[in-house]
Amino acid sequence: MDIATTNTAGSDILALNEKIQVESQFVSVLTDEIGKVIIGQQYMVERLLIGLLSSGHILLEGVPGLAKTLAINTLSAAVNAKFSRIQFTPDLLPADLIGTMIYNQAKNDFAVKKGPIFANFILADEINRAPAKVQSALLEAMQERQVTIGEETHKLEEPFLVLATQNPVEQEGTYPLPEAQLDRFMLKVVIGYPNKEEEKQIMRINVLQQFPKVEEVVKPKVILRAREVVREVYMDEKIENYILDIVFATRDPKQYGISSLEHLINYGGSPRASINLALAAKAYAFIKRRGYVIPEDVRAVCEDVMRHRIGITYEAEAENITQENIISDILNKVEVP
Amino acid sequence: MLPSSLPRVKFPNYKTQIPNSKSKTQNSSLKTRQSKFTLNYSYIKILITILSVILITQITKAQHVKVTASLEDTIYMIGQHIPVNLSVERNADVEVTWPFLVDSLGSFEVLKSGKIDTTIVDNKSIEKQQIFVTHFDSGYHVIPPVEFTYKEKRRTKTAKTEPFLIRMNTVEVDTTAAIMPIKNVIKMPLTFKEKLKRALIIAAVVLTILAIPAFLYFYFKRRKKEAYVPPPLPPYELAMKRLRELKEKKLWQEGNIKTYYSELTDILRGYIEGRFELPALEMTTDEISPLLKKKKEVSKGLFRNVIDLLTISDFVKFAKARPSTKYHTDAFDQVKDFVRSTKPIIIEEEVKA
Repeated sequence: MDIATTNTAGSDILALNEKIQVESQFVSVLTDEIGKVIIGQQYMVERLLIGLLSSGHILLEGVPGLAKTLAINTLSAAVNAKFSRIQFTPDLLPADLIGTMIYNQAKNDFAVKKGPIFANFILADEINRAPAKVQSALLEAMQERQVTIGEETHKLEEPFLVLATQNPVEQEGTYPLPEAQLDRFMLKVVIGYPNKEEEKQIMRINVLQQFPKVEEVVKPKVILRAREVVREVYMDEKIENYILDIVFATRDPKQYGISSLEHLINYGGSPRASINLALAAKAYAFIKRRGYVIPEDVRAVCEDVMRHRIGITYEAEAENITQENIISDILNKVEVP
Repeated sequence: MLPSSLPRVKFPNYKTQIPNSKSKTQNSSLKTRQSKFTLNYSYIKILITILSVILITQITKAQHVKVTASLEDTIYMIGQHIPVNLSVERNADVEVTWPFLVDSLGSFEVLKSGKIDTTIVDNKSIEKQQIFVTHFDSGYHVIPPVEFTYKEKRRTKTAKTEPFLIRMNTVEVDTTAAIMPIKNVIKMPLTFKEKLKRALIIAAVVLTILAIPAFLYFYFKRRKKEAYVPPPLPPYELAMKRLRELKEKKLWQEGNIKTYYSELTDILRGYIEGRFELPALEMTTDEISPLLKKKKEVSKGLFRNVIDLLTISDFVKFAKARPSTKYHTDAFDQVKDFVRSTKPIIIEEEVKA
């Protein structure tokens, strides 16, 4: 017995399911197209899609050479969207990012020179290498989705997705993102190494210089339409309560019978955590072609949504306990609806 | 004795200068001289009288403040406490400042100063104070005059007591006698204050000793009461009890289908958690499935039924699905059947025993 054989009381969900079946067709096409260039890293590609579908920015963390830049480049090529790569350096200025007013001698007037932020996909490479004022300028644009140059405010074109990368090594001379700014990223995805088989393929492609050409398979308006459907995905109150339980457990673990975590957590998830967990779970359900969210969806995205929103104490650091350990403990203790 | 450097005063030798009475001229001149001398002598007498009156008046005035120091004895043993009684007698309008004797009085050590007692008799104030001094050197020592200052008619004056010569004796040592051992500490009789303090300490100790067993008795009695928790029901019994309660609620009959399936799956997952020690309440259907499949007690048919039930219940709970009426009872029976079929054998043996 499945949902199709049940009573018609869930007809709205069935209709939504059918809609999703249609609207999500591009997902597999896009994944396949990206997969032509990016060997392995399905987890990262899936998270990129979640961000794309739920209009959430992503912070990618991984050692150099894990195809972070290539993945975003490929995604923008497959979507036929404008792509900008900004290498964050200590001498970067906000104007280098958002643009500035330039004096036009012929017209005897100032003209707006738009910066690289005016694109659909922005790759902020090594975001922690630029000083706070540049980080702030980018994060403000991420939040407001508009940029003010001189006296003019310019709306950023949708889809607008910022994918920032961070290198977990070589921390010397970096400017770690403050907690408040980290909170603006919907997901923080930690990328691992490819497996042996995947790496063999990567090696062959690079040695033989046989890079497949990425075709434009999705138009930006399809993404925008899919975003609307994602918001329609049904989320039962039980799932909402489950999300709240998880977020509240990060704030007050004792209340959920996880007293052992109390001294390890400095601060828990903000309301943005609840919002983004719900949105990401809906996008995940959409990718799985479902018109409703199940607890599995919440659990699948929980780590990426929550890891940068939990502050750990010095005791936790001393005991080598990470945010991932804490999230895992919470998921194992909070009752599933 | 006057110092030799001072000039000597020569008085006239009247006897040798008396003239011969036989000569008239001499007599007349003698008379004149006698009358002059008598006159001079009268002047001196008047002068002396005036000076005496002034002196007496001054002495009388000085006696407005009379300070005295007295001792009971003049011979003491070294280190012995010597009481010195100081007294000031003054007119009521005279202001006297007592000396501030803190540490020493000459070579004597001041041990204690008593309070100043004041008595007023006939508009005269008599102030008395007893101080205790001691000395630790043998021989003769002087208690110096104690100086008091007082104000009289806006003038500051001083008055001193008499000095005292005190003899301080040492203990005579009989060198011929044998050396004696060190004497024990002399036990002094306890004062009332000390007795009271000791009694209070004893009372506190006794009360503490009595309180400890009483506290322990009540503590353990209370703890025993609190500690009693009825033993938890075995998973099988608990699941059956909860199934009976669910049936009585008649949830699906009243249209609460979602609540019915939520409670039914809660009972099922709670039973799996208790029976197979899997944290099923904190797991999703997808997570429970592979773990339950490994359990020998669960047959393939039972496993399929349970996973189907959990999956359909998920549809009901999260996707607004509404199974048929028949399925509501079938789902209930499937859970009941699963619980009965996986009931631990050990429980049956215990019941038979």
